[in-house]
Amino acid sequence: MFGLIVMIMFDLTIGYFMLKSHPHLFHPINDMGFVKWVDTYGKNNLYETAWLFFLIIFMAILSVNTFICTTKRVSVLFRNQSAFNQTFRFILKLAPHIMHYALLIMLLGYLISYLSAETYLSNILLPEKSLRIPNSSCEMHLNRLHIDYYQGERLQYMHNRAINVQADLTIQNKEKTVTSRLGFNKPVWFFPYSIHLKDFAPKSKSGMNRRAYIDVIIKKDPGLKYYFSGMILFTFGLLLYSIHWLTQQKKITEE
Amino acid sequence: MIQHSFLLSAIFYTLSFGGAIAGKKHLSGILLIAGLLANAYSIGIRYWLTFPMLPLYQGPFFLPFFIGIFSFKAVWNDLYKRSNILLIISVLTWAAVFFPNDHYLPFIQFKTILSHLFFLFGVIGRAFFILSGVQAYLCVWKRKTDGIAAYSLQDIRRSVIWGYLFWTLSVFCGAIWSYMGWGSPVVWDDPIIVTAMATWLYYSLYLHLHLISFVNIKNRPFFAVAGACWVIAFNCLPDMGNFMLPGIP
Repeated sequence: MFGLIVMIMFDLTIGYFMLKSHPHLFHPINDMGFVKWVDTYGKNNLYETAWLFFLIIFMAILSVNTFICTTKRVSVLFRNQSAFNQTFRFILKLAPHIMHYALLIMLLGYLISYLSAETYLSNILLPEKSLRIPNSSCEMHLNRLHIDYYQGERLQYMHNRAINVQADLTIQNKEKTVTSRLGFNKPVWFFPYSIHLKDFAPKSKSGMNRRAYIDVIIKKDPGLKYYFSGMILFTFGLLLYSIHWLTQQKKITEE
Repeated sequence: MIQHSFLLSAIFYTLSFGGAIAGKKHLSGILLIAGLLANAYSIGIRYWLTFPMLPLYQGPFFLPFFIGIFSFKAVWNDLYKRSNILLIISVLTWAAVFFPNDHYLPFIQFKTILSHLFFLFGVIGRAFFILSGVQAYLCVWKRKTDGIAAYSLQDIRRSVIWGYLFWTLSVFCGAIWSYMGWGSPVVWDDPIIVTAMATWLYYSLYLHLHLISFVNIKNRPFFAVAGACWVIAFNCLPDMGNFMLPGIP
């Protein structure tokens, strides 16, 4: 594992310099999905993108290694469960393994996401107009666009510029209708889609009066629930691990 | 006021370092507190002028403050530790003064608690990692010269665990924020994303060192020193810009 992580770090260092010098090659990964990206940017710029392919191979090896090692240790722990007089102590002992399994769930989520997520960019919606979500029977309607402009003194560069954007959307298909408020960092969920606000107009109260619109990203990501559950589980495991280590140290100090 | 207060903190930290070298414990301590207060004031103003948005690329101005706070108890009691940690704090502070990043206006996507947690947890994580490196250096160096380690392996590991906890939370907050804002947990046009991942893997490895047969206990501090050098090179320096004299009116 030592050698593998050193190799991953070396690979990531190369990746850092490649991303820094050729960001335009990697940006489309999110927009077009990994498979299409490999067929276009990836294959045709192999010198700049090889590190990413190596990273995937290394991560696959790391995942298999982590799964085997953790499963072995967990099975030993469960066999010796009776040796722990308190359930909490047993759970604390499980903390590193919870983190390992959580990492695997996260990696699985990313794998699913990069192989099968669908992203639809540049979906312009005008107030009181509708738009169909591509390749589906869902229709989106912008009921109202409300923009707050900053009027305070503290943030001088924001004066008369938009500080809060709220778009009331109605999304419907044959089965259901959902009305919800979209904002920056506040996507609207309409299973299996999430709708994210990317851009809007008018951004400023003064200057040329532009026509009101919003630009949304429509995302269908089946890996989402896996990588976010993995993150929650990992955080839980990490907190348990920290508590375990700190209580152990306290005991050593007291002794 | 932002530039004045931060420059003042750099001067106080450096004078405090000089005081520690000269063996003036109380004077050095007072100057250290003055430096931390000036640094806190500078951070406060930076936040005041951008909140509810994020003070983008301002990490180098926050970093010395957090290192100072987290090592405060140890450096207060021990002049030797104080001089070494203050040397690092002073170097980082002057680096932030002379190599500021370009000024970017924050945008509305930054107006979320997730962006602030991503930023603050990231700086705190870096502070702990750098601190663990300094502790490891002192652990090895002092043991070589005096035979008694200034810091124990437990102290180093404690800093690494705290750093790892905050770094992980920062990465997760960043991923959730990225998904909420842009519909993807990874923004592939920012090179810092891969070095953040590398740092996370490196410290994951550090926490597994006891399982690796050829790394004995004596060697572990070297990994913490190497990790701190990595963090400075790949997680701190990218936040800095070209050499520039501080523009003080």
